[in-house]
Amino acid sequence: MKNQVNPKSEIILCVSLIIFSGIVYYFALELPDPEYEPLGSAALPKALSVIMSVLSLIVIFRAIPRIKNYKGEPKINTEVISRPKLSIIIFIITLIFIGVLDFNILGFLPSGILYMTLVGYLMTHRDLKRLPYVVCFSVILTVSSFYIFTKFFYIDLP
Amino acid sequence: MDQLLNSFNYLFQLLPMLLLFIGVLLGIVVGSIPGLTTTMLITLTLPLTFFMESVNAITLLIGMYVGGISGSQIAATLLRMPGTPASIMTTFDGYPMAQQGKSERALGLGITASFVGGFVSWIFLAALSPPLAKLALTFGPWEYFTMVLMALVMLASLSQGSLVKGLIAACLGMMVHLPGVDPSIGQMRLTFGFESLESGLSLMPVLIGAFAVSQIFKDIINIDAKPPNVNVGRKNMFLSFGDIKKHSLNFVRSSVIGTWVGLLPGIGANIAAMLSYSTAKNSSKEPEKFGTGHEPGVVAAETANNASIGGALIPLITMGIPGSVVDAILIGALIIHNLEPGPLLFSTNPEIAYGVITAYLIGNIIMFGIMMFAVVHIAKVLYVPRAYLLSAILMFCVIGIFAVGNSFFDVWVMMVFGAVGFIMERTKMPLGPFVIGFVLSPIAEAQLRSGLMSTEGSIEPLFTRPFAATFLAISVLSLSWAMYSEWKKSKV
Repeated sequence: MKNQVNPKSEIILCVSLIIFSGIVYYFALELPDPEYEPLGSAALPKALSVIMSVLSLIVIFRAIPRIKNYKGEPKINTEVISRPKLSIIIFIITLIFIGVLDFNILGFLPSGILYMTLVGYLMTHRDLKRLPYVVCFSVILTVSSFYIFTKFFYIDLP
Repeated sequence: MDQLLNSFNYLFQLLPMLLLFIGVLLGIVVGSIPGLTTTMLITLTLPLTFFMESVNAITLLIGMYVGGISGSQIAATLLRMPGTPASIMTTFDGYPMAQQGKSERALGLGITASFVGGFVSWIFLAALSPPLAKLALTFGPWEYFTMVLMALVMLASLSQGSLVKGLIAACLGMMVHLPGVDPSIGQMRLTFGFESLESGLSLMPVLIGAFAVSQIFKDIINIDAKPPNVNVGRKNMFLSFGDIKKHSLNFVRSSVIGTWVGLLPGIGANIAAMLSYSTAKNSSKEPEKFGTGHEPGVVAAETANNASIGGALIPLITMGIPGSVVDAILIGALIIHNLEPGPLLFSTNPEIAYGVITAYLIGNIIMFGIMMFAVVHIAKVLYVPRAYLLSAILMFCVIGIFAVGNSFFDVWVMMVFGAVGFIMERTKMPLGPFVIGFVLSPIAEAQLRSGLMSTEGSIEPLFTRPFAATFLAISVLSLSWAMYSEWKKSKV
């Protein structure tokens, strides 16, 4: 089977991995030399950084010649609309929800209900007819999880 | 033998039995929904098991494992959408049978095959595990280091896609485990100035992020996909004695293949099903019928994928080496409960080692009962609205991870690894080697350093100790074979 991955994505990922390896290697250099054993704490980080950089370079060199011939991902099911933007939006909303809880801006119950309603509303294609069901579902799920975790598992939710 | 009987006695009490039943049922339900995987269910359940007794926790997870692999055949047969990768081969003949109006027959065959595969591999599990654990007690650091190396190399070599990407994923998994206290000398390393990294990255946020969160965002992209309506009855599901006799050779052969493939470190149920299916096809007098709704195809695939679970549990309880990604997560579950996976498990915590063995057998029996009598109702789960399901799982991921460590740092880590897992999947970088690298890297590093300390820096034992040399040779051969296959493919 031919490689159907976007070569540009592969190159970006591998360049990021090389940068990450470089950072790890740099911080590993600061670790003291081994005293009581042959390898020391820095050996594995250094070895992994070098191996990962070499492997990433191989992927980059393989991806470069494919850039010109790449014609996009093959569509398997043309009837289903792919929604990558929705996925990114929900990811960002989830980060905001976690931030709201972490920085104590709102408690778990109100923020959980708001979050679930918003995510449910977006995932049902902003269909207002389905909104009452989404709200009911959000309230029931958030309240029940709150009580299960606080009363049953003794976890202090914010 | 006494300990095995004690374990059965314990399992027949109300709570463990109830947990096993719930585990199998949840596994079947989740396994049957395309997009939700057994790995995802088990990772999501881990935080809850934190509050349970270790034996009960393992019993629940084993139930999910058995149920998940078996349940995935429902969508594979009815919709040609395998619930988990383990059932890809079932779609080849199960779906054509359903199209020909024989969906009950296909499901009946698949369920019986899953049970037989599970039962035969249980015999191997029960018979081989105690002596293998004794043998593993003679292993030193060099054997453990080379065994971990073998698991990583085999998984990277056999991952779908490129070998280089598999190796990158394994390296990345190992690197993610580096921050925190060095396991050998207790020195702090790679914390990048962050206090929260001093205790390292915990297993659960990384696992749940990489498997569950990334899967949810992948599913949201295809949220509009709706499965077609299929009616299933209960007629013709039970096999006659004649049917069993007709398929007996296939049952036994596929069970042995499945168990053997499961035993090899790092290879999962999908490879077992593939190998068993092709063996059944190659040894059949009617190979042209495979792929057109041929019963032996369903039997071969479903027997082997379930048998691989029993096989994979053998290295897990005897040596602490995962046979597949789910097994790596089960190792994580043992670690969370302060248990040390490995040969000592049989002597220090026999209730856990034998608990795994008995739960696997009883789980298979429960799976058979639930699937045979309730598959008609379970099939309706395929039509649960995704919007509600995915948002509930996402919320549960956040609370679950917070609950375990009582820390939002872990929740942020989970989201970061959700994004990492998502990007890896989009660029066809396998997640299996990443997770196994993450779980096994501390063992590999600690064993290598301990070995080098004992030999004052010499690596000679790698070549002079028979088991270490064998494991090293297998690693080198697997790597060479994978490189050769990739080079050959690139020439075509």
